[in-house]
Amino acid sequence: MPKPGLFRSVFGRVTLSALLVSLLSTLALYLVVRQIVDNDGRAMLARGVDTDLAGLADIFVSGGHAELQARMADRFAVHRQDGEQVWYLLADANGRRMAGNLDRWPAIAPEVSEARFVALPGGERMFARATRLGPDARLVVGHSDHRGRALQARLAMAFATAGALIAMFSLLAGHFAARRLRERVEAVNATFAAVRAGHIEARALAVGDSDELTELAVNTNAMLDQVERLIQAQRAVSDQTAHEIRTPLMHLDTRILKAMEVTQDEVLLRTLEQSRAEIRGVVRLLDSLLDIAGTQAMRGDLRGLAEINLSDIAENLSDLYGASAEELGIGFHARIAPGILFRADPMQMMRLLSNLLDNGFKYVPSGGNVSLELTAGPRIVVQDDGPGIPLADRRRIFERYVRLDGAPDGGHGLGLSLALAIAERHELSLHVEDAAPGARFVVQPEEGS
Amino acid sequence: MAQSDPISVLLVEDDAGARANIAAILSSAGMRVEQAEDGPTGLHRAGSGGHDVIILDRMLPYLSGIDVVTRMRVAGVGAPVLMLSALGRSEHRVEGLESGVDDYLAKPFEPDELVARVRALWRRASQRGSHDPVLLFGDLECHVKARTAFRQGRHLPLSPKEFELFRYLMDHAGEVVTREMLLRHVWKLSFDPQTNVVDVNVGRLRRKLEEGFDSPVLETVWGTGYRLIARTEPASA
Repeated sequence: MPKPGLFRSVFGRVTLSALLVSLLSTLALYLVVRQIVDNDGRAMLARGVDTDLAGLADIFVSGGHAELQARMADRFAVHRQDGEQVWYLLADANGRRMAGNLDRWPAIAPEVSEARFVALPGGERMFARATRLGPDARLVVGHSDHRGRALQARLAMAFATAGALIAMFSLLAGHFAARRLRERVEAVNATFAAVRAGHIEARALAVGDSDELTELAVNTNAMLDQVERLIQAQRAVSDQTAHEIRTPLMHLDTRILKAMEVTQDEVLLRTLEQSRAEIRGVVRLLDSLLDIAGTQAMRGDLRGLAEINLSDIAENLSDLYGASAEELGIGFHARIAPGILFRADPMQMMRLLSNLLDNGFKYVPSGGNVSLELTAGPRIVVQDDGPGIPLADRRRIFERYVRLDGAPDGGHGLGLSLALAIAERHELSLHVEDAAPGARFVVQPEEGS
Repeated sequence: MAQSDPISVLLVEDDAGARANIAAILSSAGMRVEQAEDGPTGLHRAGSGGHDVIILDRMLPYLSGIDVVTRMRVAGVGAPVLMLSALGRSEHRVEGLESGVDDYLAKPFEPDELVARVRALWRRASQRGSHDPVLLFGDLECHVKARTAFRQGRHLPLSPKEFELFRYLMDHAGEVVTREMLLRHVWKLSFDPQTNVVDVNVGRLRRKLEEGFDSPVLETVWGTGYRLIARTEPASA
């Protein structure tokens, strides 16, 4: 299996999530602080503007129009060090300028003494409040907000820098933590890979912190121990079964042979010979069953498999079966691509081919055709033009003991089961399809392998 | 076949019934049989030497048959070993053959098959090192290097596989050769296909060996296998 990419690896995703969370929290913190600073700055501006406005209103009340204009001119003359600026506009009831440094009345309502930020034509911004001084005079006072804006810029810069540092640290910390975890998980995965490659004795290293990953390694090892025990038990049981059944059968066979030696009775001799043939049948049945079970247990177990030349094996078998075909009056055609290499147990591959060919020859009547085709993949096709296999039976025929109606005598219906077990052991699939007419058995690599 | 010096066999088998039966079969085939009932005893007797063929049961008490073979080989015992086993699956056969055993026979077996295997092993061991370029039997000739066959001096047109089959039969001329032996040595198969492919292939060879000649040379031993036979009166050659 290929290694997952950054976004598919659980550790990559954990690292990226940590990064995202730290960036989002930095952003949230920045927004809160900016809001507080904004509110505070606005309150301070409002206080300054209000004090200024109240002072000017007092002057208007006490000194009238001229006095107010004189005081406003005084204030324009003051050049402030911090660059902050003031704006005043004294206007009549229609908003026409009477005095001040603003040309036009801004969009502020003097009737309700409204206060707000107002954009100036030069692109600048001021915080201003307007009020009515009398029936035909109104005044607006505005202060610039350079300090507040500078503060906000500094704040943004500070948070951006802090955010970058936090992101870097969380990435680094996540990377190192994830790397350590990944190494430990990969050690467990490597153990499974070794077991699959045939090293059933491989175990994961379960040392270090007694955390969940140690537990995973310990559980992995316990499970592998159990698998190993099961494999041994399966072998032991099948060996013992074979031994316990074959030994008495051999004694029985010997006894029958001895009885045959002392009789001349033709009928009895035939009966006894039939009994011996039945003993052989039982032994073959036992072997086939154990072969199927043993092969199924080895599924995915690549031990003892070497690169073999499948073409040579197919040639050898087509030679063996070609003669049979001629004798049976069956046309046999082999199309074998040369030099097809495959990692397999050679004897089992011979068995697979031979069982498929046996099956073809069994069902094809004289005058029919059987073909064997081997191409790269490896893809093996054994096809006949016999009666074919009904759709409903195309899966069932690979089950044990299944023999279709009209099958010739002999055989226990295990040949195709063993062929399937062998194919699957080698990560190949085996299925049958309609060859119209006849049956086509196809062996090819399993999907996804 | 007449032998001045009978084949000497060491039989290691724990099952008393089977041991007596096998010894009887071998003795009646004219072989001399020494018996042992477990691995250590068998190993000891094999060490004293003088056996042409050793027959070992695979499942022995104390020391398994495979362990016995391994130790015998380490101790320098070179006699060919035929392993008898109640484990007859092809997987076991391959495992046995890979462990240094020369031949493998599953129980139950035909008495003729056992005799044929022991003879074949003995012959192979006694011929070791000799590479006759031409094998002769009766009026048959097998030219090993040229891969050609003759009967009564007439060339027989054999296919490559037919020649290998013929050569194997010539190697064991006069002896019974079983289907399993042919499958294993000619087609490298350690299992028996369900159809009678061996009989068919031997039948074709027989036709080539016998058609146009007045006497049979390849006889079927019912239930066991085949045997090349020479005419009772010696051939003119």
